[in-house]
Amino acid sequence: MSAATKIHGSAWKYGDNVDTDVILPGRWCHLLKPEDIKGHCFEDLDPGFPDKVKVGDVVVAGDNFGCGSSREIAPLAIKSVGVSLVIAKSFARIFYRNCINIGLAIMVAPDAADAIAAGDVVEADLAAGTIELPSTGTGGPGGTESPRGRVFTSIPFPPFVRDIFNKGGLVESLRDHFKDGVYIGS
Amino acid sequence: MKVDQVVIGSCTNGRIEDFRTAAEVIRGHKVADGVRMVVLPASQKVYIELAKEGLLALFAEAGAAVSTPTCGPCLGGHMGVLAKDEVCFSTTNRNFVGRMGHREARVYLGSPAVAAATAVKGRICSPEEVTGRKAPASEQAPGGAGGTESPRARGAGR
Repeated sequence: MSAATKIHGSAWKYGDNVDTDVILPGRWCHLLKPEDIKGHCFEDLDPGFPDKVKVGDVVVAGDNFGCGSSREIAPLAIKSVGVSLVIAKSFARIFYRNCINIGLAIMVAPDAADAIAAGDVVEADLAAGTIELPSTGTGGPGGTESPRGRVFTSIPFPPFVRDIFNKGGLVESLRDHFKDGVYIGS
Repeated sequence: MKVDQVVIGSCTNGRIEDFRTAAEVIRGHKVADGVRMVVLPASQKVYIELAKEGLLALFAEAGAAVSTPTCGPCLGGHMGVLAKDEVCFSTTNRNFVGRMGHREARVYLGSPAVAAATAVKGRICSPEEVTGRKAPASEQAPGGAGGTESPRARGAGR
């Protein structure tokens, strides 16, 4: 499954320092397959989230999202329930890299994270690094006015990182660089 | 604060000097009734040194479960997974919600000396209460009882 370049979904809003223990508790770390872990996503943060979230929805959070233990299945849990993008003021560094590795789209956008309210419909363009909110958004100030509402910017990932997201993660992206076990270049 | 479980060791605070410190507090005492105590050396090297110094026996005779080096209770994986409303004092490095088991269990973090004293008394307390002598400042509980994890805590453990 690959991350779409353009994203459209409803926002689920959380605070600062959301740790990997509440994203995917250690008691489920023995599970490996997305279909097995998806039912436990945000189990200790927002019980019932997997049943409430819709495919394509967007998670919006404050600072230091994904802090704590470096468990790759934490971003995998978020991806497996169908979340298309996580927008945060900042990400914990290992979680940030794990998101690239497993192909969960992320954007660092402090103003957007402040302005987006739970339930807002968010449109994002990963290649352009833009996040657009309809004028009905209820959040705080910031952004620039557009015909549709307000636009916030994030520094887009360079093309080779977007390629990893698009292919669905690091391992999937590397498959294109190998043929019959031999490296054939990028 | 009464505790149900004490964990000493893991990759954090599981060095030989940590266990020597804890052993000095617990020597001649038993783990309090109703308290589970788990001892987790950080490495095979530490485990072997504990054996040579007689500390595996000391902890076991005091009533602790002594494990080979492994991940386990720190992340609610196995050994001493906390039930609802249980309280644990641990020398491990994280006490996020649900970290060591049930999301309504509580985890206090602190030093090996305070953990050993807590195991003996069954409540979070200073090592002085057990040994009768003042511990070096480095071995005392921060703020009297266990510290809490800062959101900025670093680490790459699971």
